[in-house]
Amino acid sequence: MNVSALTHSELGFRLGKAGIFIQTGSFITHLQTSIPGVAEGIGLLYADYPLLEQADFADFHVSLAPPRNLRRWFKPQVLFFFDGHPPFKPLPLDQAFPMFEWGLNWCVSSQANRYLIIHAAVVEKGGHAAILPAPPGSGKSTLCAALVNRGWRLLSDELALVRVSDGKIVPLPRPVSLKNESIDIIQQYEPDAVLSRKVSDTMKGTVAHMKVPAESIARAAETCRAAWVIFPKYQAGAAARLEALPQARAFMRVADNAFNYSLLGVKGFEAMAGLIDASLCYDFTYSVLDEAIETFAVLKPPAI
Amino acid sequence: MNIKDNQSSEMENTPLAHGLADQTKPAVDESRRHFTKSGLAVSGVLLTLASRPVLGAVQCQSPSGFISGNVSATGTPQECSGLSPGYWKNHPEAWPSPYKAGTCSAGCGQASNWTNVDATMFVAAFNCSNHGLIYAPYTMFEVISSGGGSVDPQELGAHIIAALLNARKLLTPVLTEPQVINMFNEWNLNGYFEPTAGVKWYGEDIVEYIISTFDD
Amino acid sequence: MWQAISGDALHIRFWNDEFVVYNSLSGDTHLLGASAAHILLKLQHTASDVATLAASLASLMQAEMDDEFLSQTEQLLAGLGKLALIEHS
Repeated sequence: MNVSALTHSELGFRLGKAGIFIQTGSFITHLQTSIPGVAEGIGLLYADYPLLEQADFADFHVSLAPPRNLRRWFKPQVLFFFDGHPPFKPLPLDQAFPMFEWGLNWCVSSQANRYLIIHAAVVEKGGHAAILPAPPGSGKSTLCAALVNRGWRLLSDELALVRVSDGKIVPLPRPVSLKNESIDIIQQYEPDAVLSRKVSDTMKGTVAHMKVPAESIARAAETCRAAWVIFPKYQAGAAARLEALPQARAFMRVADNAFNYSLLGVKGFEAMAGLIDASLCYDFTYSVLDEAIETFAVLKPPAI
Repeated sequence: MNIKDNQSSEMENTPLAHGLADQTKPAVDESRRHFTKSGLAVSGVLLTLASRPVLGAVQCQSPSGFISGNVSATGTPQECSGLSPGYWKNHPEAWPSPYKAGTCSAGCGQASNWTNVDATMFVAAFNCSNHGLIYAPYTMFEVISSGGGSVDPQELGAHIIAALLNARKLLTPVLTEPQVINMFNEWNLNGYFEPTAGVKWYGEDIVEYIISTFDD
Repeated sequence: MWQAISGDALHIRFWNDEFVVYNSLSGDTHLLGASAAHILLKLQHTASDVATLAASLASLMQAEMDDEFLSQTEQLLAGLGKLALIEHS
């Protein structure tokens, strides 16, 4: 059964007590919290995610709660706990749901060493995945959100997981994070997209999260292989342009965007080499979303 | 991650390098020819991605977190491993693209062998219309090397550049490049930066914050 | 005389004329162009001196083997040495 099977008050009740176990891609997250903002976000954006009733195992045990100090009374805050310990300083209570999302990304990026983890979005169509690595500010998330609303399956908007054992990409479909202007852009581009409420004054500016299309969640167990590595760059006024990137260069740039490339040693090198070997690599500049969608629609996978 | 560019300016390599030369391979000519000074170098060692050691836990917060003070007594703080202005001054070869300390043809481990050719100007990243006017004529490397003197005794210029380079290299997750730039630009306009409404950070406060993001 | 570091430590892949090399001793990854890669691969095979390597490189690049070329080969070797990919034997 999915999270949507619970009523709003049942969800809030369970979260506040023993918590709930949600299947997010190949990870099971156990979440416990009494904070209403988090319950709202879960109810809205995680409605289609499987809820595990009898779970005795979770990959991550997380909770969100106000810190136990005087602050809770005049300037309420929230702490994110992982296995009972808070890895971050508290944030204003208003940011509790984004904090859950950031915290969960942190969990995945620092704990999952069976994967080469790249800071990138991953979308798939026709059995072929496009990895979009990108430093902040490149427009990756906006592009990803748009693609996902135009027929591409979402595997991840933030963390590309390349399984070291076989090089396959393992999905981790989670709400797509949008910042500042992107929020309005996507809302206009796809009026039917479901967005959480905007949360302002965070470290990243104003943020909101977009609900993942149900199909992407339903297919979360379906792995696939990369066919393209595309570095997006939003540039105001630019016409959509794909420029072939030599593979060895792409290798270095993707490695630079990977969280645990160094940590994995030779296995990281080999996983990266396998990824690059199988992919056509490009730099992609764009300004108009429709043009970007068009370009992606005619991408050809590498000849086998 | 630290990507180190082993070559001179022709071999810049980041997706966000505005207007910098594309890295094209030289075509190998069919006829025998004399190589120019940089001839072999263009197909030599091009880039190095240094191994990034596992970070130890270091106290580090976002600007707004910094003001709330070290209230949280529990748990491990977020990791930050920023490098000081002194480091960046002595390692011009390590500057992350697209920021360049300058150009160097030999003995690049020595800052004194570097020239101003292709050096990134301070104004390329920061607004210097008002309080920042003192930095406008200089390159980033000059600002970071000069020590501030009497016009910038707390060395705000040097520290903001260090913060920028650190952010570019992803050493300070809580303080991103856009945040560093914004922090300085606000200070340039008003003489202070407001990390949160009502709180004013003057030059020395900004420096103090930046220092807190350095690796201990 | 130069030689490459222990064969087990070097992992090499290439696409077109560019090579990525992982050195498991240093943990560093390098992007090498054709000439640096040529030198490294040769030195993995047998220890060699500058002159031999320069001659081989000149042949590969179809270039004139003059003093300038020799000097640049030396610089290339010094660079590879500094990265601990090769060492004096």
